[in-house]
Amino acid sequence: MERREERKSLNSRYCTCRTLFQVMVIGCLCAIVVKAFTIQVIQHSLWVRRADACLDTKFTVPAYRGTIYDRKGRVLAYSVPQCSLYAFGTHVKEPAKTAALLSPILGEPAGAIRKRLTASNHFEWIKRQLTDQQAAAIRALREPGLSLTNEYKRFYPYRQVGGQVVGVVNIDGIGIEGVEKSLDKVLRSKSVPVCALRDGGRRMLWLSDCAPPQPVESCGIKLSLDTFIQFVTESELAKAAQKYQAVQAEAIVMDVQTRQVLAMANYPFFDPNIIPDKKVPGQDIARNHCISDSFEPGSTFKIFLMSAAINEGVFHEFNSIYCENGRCKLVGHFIKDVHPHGWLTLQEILKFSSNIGAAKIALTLGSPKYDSYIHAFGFGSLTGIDLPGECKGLLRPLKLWRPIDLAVTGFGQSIGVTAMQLENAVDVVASGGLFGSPIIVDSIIDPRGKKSRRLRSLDALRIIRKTTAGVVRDMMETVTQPGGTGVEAVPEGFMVAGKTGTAQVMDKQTKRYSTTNYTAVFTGFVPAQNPKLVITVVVHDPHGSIYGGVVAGPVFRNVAATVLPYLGVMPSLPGFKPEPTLREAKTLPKHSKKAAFKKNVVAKSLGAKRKGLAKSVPGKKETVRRCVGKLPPARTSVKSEGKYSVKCSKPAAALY
Amino acid sequence: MMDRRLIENFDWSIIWTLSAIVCIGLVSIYSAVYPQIQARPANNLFIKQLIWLAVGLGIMCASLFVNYQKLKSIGPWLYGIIVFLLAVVLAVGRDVHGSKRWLEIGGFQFQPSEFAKIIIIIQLAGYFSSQEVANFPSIKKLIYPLLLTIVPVLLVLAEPDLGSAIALASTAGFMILFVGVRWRYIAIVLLAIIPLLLPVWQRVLKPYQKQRVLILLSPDRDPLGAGYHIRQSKIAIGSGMLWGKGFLKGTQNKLHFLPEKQTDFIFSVWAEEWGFVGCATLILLFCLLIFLMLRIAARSRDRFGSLIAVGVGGLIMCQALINIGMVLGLLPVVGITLPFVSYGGSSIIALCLAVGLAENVSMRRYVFQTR
Repeated sequence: MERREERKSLNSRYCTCRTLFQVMVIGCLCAIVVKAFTIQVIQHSLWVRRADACLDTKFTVPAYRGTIYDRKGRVLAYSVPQCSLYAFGTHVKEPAKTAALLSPILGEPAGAIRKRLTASNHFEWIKRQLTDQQAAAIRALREPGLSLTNEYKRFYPYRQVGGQVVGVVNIDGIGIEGVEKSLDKVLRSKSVPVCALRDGGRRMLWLSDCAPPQPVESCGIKLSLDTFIQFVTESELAKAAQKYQAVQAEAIVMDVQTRQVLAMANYPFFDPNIIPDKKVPGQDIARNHCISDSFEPGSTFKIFLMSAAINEGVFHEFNSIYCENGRCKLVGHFIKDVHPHGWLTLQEILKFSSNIGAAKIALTLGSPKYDSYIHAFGFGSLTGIDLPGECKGLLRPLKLWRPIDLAVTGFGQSIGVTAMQLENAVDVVASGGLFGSPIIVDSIIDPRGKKSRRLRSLDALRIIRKTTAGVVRDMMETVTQPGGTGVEAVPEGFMVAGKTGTAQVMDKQTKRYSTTNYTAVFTGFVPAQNPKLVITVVVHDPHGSIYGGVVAGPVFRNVAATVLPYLGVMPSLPGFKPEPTLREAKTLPKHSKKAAFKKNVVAKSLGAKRKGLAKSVPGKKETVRRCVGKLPPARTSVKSEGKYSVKCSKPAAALY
Repeated sequence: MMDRRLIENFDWSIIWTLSAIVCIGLVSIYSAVYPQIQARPANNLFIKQLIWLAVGLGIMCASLFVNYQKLKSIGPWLYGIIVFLLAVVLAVGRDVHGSKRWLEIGGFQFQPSEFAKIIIIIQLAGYFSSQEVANFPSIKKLIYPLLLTIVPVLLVLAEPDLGSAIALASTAGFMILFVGVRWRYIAIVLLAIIPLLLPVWQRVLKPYQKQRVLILLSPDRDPLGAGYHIRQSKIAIGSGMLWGKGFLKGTQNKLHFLPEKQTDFIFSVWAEEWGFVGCATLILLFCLLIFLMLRIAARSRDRFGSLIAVGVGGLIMCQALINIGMVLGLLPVVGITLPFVSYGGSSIIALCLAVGLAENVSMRRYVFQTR
């Protein structure tokens, strides 16, 4: 009985244990089946979507950097495919042996290569941008762990010509100077997103009927620069800089009507094929000093003083001012002239560059008006050129002007300007009173070679009356005539309107004007009556001679003498006979200045509706054609003039 | 020599069920290693697996000729050998991904932990079938089997091979439960576990293991890091839907999204290509196999044989449940293979041997009456 009871209890225990056991097993099985059903049937859309998200990827077709052309389509910068060598640390079995093999190919000590091979367990560049021969030799080695990849190296076929303007890219192909930097986004654009498949190792999968897309070229850029003009400017600048042992020099050549920069030279020159090392001091030669360095413009600033004074009607060109025989005390300070003069007309003040005269004019004009004109000419603000690192220059706020500041600003002291600002301001006078932004990038060219976008400022602002501009131009013309300071700037057969400047340089230590350091400046336009080019030459710290007319003037002359005929502008002064070409020898009548001027006017007026007139006036047809043929720039200038819409915003209107 | 009755009592249904599972395994492995075969035909894992299966089958047949009763006497020797081998592995084992599981003998590599599972089954069956141990043993009687289990479990854990250790421990637990445990012991164990949870979490578990547990609780955590395995596995399974993508058409598998696909995550490969229908079939086959094992246990002529069959069934069930549960995201990720489906020589041979043992028990269920 007892035994049975015991057995019964044992059985019941056994049963409960069995039940627990079975419940556990069946429960687990059910859980698994239910879970599988949930994932595979109930939630399947979620997991299918996640699977697709794993597989599908947006792939951007690799694009390499676009080409940079000059205005004639010459290639200034382009990308060349080149191999780069990298190592995968864990796959390199014998670093010593591999380094020894690589050493003669790369021309580097084996120790240094070995160091890089063992630097990390993962990706490590060994050498980038190999030559083709090096790449072939490395490929033949078949060393484990070494791999070659295609990269693009930037190549600048014209080397130093326009180096600072074109700029440079770093080893990863990102622009760090010049146009390469300012239009980096354009040059690196054009990446086309494509849908692609990828695998678990994030590798792209390309099906056999759909090959992987090849790299495409990004948008290119057409600069307004002309390599020939740039080269001429640079070589002339280098000659002057070397002759006068200058540390630094800049020159800008610009088209008067379109404001396109044709040349922008910085001495010392910079070859963008060699990426500058930032660790080495004094490596700022890649910087474009034309836009990023400000200097005191000296007497060249008198141009703008005259423009302001005449435009305001405070003076007329023939008003005379007493110049105190070279030395006087104005508003508590002594002001000196290099050559003492007595009574001078405004024209003569500019011609002989009298500081006293300029100071008196400035004092008469008054600071508020003068300041507004200085701003209107673009000083103290960015010119808006498509180049990086532009500086605004230094301009004292109107509130802080003391009388002496007003007086010395009249002849270009206590103000800092960049060469580009000066050039652009002179262009206002040359173009008859219109102010606009200078242009360095002509257009953006899409990969198919079409001009996709023209970058040009269509708006020009009238700063001074056309008559004022004409008067100032005539005054500037006397500067280069015998007796003036800028005689050496005149190329044979042309009239030049210009202004010299010899500015003292502030010594950074003594905070006073140095007696040994000067900035020699010449700025002007040519031909004087029908301007084609504005040229500004700035030579910093010349030795031997310090005068703008002597140091910078010849650069102006030589550049103009070479570039004007290149642009089709022939010498046209009386008494100057160019050597006749074969074609012109028979047909061309003798020129007088007057006749040439007349023809220009005719050509211009006809240019507006050239087609109709050329046909309807048979008698003038020959003349017209000859003139147009002789003056290819006339065509462009007329066209662009037509496009300029003159806008008068409120401050400009107030200036009249 | 072979008795006619031996063949009469041969349980063919086990062989058929096993064949079906093996076939599913071969199909899955072929699919899993298909890209690898195409890339490097010399290293054909599918052929290797076939060879292992043939070897396993051979060993299984050979083992049928030996009466399982003899294992009772040589059990302790086998146990000694396997403990020794597990210790040797720790000393001279081949290091793969930071764990020493493989022993190289004469050019062949094998995992002693796989064979330790069978030997534990034999030893426990031997102990529980002895005269002095009744059903519902007292705590004193349970100390010996617990020690018997803990020694190899700790050795395997030291490799470290958490998956095998769990399989070993849970098989032993399965057998002990089958023998019967008093309610209060179960309650004591459960109560003892709860206060231990916190120190174990803080001290014992490694950071990656904690991550795996946390991912179980919040599946969308760290999908590219610690949660990558389970997420990819669920994507593969879920995108298979009801009917599957079809043989060799599983994208997640073929494009290398699925990790460890021919071993631990073989179920995902199968589920992606054959869908829920395939999954359910495979799970049912495993259920069937375990049911057949339990039937053998019920029919067995003695307690020893019955416990062996239960142990084998428990081993297969624990591994299958843990593996599938892990792959589906029900359990944290541990390295445990799916019996007869995953790739691996030692595992296949050990499991064939285990099923052979169960078959052995089935064949000899009436033998003692004639002799």
